[in-house]
Amino acid sequence: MHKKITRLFLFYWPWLLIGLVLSALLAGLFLPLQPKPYPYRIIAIGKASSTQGIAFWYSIAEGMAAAASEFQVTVDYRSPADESEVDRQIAIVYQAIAEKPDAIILAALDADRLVEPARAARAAGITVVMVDSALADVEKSPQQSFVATNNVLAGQQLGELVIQRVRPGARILVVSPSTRGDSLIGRETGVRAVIEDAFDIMPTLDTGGQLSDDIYQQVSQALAEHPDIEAIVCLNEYTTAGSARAIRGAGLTRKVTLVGFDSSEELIDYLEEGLLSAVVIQRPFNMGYLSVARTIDLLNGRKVEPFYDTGSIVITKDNIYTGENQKLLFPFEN
Amino acid sequence: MRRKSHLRDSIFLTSLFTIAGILAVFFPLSYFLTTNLTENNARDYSRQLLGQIKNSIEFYTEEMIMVSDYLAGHPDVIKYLKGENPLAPSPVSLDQQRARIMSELKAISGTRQDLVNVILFREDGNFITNRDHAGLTPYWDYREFDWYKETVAAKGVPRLSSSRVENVIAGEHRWVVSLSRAIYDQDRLLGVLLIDLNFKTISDICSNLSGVNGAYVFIQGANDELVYHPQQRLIYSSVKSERFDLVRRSESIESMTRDGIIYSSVKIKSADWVIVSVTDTRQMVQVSPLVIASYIGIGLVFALIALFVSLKASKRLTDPILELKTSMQHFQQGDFDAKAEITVTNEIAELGEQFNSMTQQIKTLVEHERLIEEQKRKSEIQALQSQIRPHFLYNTLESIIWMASSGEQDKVVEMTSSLAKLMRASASKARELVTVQVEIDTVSHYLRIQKMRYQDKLQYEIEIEPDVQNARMPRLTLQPLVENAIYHGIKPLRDGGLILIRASRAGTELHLEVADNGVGFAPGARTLSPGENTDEGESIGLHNVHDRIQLLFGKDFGVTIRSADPGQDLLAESGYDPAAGIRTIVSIRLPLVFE
Repeated sequence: MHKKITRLFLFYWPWLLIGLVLSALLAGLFLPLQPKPYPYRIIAIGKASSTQGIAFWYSIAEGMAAAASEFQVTVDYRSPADESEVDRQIAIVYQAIAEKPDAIILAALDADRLVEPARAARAAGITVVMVDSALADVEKSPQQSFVATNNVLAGQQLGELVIQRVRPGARILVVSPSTRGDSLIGRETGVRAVIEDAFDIMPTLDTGGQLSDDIYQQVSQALAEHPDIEAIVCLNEYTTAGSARAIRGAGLTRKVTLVGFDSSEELIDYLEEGLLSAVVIQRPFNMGYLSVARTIDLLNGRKVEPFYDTGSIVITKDNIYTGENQKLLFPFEN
Repeated sequence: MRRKSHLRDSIFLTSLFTIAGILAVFFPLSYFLTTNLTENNARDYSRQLLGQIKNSIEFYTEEMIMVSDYLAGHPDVIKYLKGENPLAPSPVSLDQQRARIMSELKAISGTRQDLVNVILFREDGNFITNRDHAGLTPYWDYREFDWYKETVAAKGVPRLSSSRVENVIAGEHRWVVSLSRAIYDQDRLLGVLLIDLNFKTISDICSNLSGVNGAYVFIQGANDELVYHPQQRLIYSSVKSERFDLVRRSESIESMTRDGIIYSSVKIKSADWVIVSVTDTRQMVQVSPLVIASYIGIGLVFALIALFVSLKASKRLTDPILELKTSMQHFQQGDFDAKAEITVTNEIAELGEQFNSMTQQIKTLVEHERLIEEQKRKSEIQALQSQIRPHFLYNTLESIIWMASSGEQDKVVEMTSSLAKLMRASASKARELVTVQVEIDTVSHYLRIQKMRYQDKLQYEIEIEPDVQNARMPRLTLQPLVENAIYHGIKPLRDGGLILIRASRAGTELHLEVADNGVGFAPGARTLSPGENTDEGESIGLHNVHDRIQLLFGKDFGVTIRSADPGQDLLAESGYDPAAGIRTIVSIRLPLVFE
């Protein structure tokens, strides 16, 4: 009798075992679908503070926060105080690597010098996505995706504005805060490609990443030294502001055509006043949002494109208060 | 080879498929119910939320309308707009008039922090604001703005703008929602009233109340522009899209569901705004892998329990059947005492009882059959016994006749007496078994009769071990042997012979021997067998004895004959004096039984 029961159990145990194994397999199939128990931790490293009144970085951080809340991740925004501090930014990247986040979103202040820190991040298993400014030599760089304005196209838009507003052959000054950043290099390339042949273009004034006051001095000096300058093309927000002040300071309002890049309340005043003829603006909110969205795609193992163009828009006095432009030009709700 | 189908297998498989079936139904059903419930809950929640937001926003828009009603009907305002110099009771200067209205506007915005600008535009370009030192922007002529033109065209009906940047105040760009209202005197336009509500008031309501489970709220104004959307910039630049086709401009809450996303919309009373809440239930109803895993786990546990129970139950059912089967097998192999020990009380127990009573009946029948058989055998024995009688009687009577005719009166008497005793012994209705002593007495009568016939030609000796005297043996077994020894051993001898009779004990057996020194048989030793026919020189009686003993005591017992050539001392081993010249020993092996 005992033997028989043993035999019966021997016959049924394999069934139970098969059931157990099948369940384990099913559970195994589903477990990878289980959302991570903790949200992704992303550290974003910008070029300048998002809270010191620079609208561009404020909007980038705002877009990142919107994506963070939508995708339930944490995005921690950090930056050096201003765009001259390349060493500081490199130090911030290394500090971020030490904190072992899932990803780093970086806006490189220096396209060459940030390659090594980005490589170190990749080596530590951290996903690296660039925003606004990429690393040099995109083919070989450690960046996995890049979300930004197509700066060459934006530069071309800037160039078109000059062609529409300035007589051919006029003397033109190009003002750039730095010749190191990838975004600025792209803009300058774009501008020059369009205006090179039609105008007398002076060597680019590199203001060295300093803020408006210093730029005011430099541009005022340039205007004094070269009274024949008919137009100034600026490649970012505070060079535009500094140049506008210099033009007004020299009493050249509406006499020197100023086209600039990006916007601020100050620049909008200048636009309304006519001191500033036009600006090309970017979509920093979209940039911030998409950089986080693409980073999450990468973290989730989805395929992403190497580059996402967030576009750029020409703003003149007439279209400041229309639909989308209002939102882009006045990001602060108060 | 086809597998034998076991009862337990079918019980097991049945319960297995039942469980699988139940789980297969239960799983999707509970999923469906959960999904439905979650979706309904989410819809109820989104409608509740929408109701709250509608109330809050209506509070602000109605407040603005109230303020505009108040100001549009205010006599000072009308006077100011008409450009009339206020008269009675005492003349007031233009500056005093402006100051009075300004303090009125300040009072309004002072108690309502969310009203950032209250501006009265007079048709001639004069204006009064609620704020000190606030000038109009020099870069724009407000009369060129679209909102101004539309307000004038609305003929005194309040107009609520979308969210916009207020650009009439110099050096200021604030996000506001504006109520504008033209003030007429009959058909004459007196001026325009502009009330700016801080847009943050509206956006905070929307963003604070959304955000649960990724739900959000947006406001669509007239002409489909967005008053508020948390991701307005993404929608403007087509990074994201919104299902505006699911928005319903109804004063009661309407919900539309597409692909698991619930769009609940409601139009507010005082303006052409629709508030829309968007709830994505896909993540809520998405069965998390953890839930699936626990479903599987619970299912497995239930399955295991059910399997264990079904194994137990089937064991309870099949064990008695197996017990019954084993008993039947024993019964089949001839064990009539086989009983099914079934402890449960159900149909199988009844079956077992019936089986038991059946075996009992069969056992009785077999017993009965055996008794009949035994009876038959006994009568056979008796027949065999009676076979002896006529043969011997014939010989003896002839001797008596012979003695009577030769006038040997004494011998006739003695012989007849012995014969009579012998006959009585053999004819007695006594039991089948008699004591050795009785049998020896019987054989003694016989020998006496023969002695008288053979005179000196026959010598005999009888030795009985005292402890077998009372042992039992079948009656009339020695006599045929002795008869055999006389007729086949002694009779052919010219000088007569000797017969030795011994009864002894050998362990648990009783040995009887009849030895003679007659002519003997073919040398060797052998045991008689029942079916064997009589050889020359072997008495039929010898076989009868052998058969009877075997019938009574079994195959282990019977008659053995040992015989030797003259002078051979084989028989000396049996303890006889070699001088006696014993040549034949017929021995009987019997079980030693007393009483």
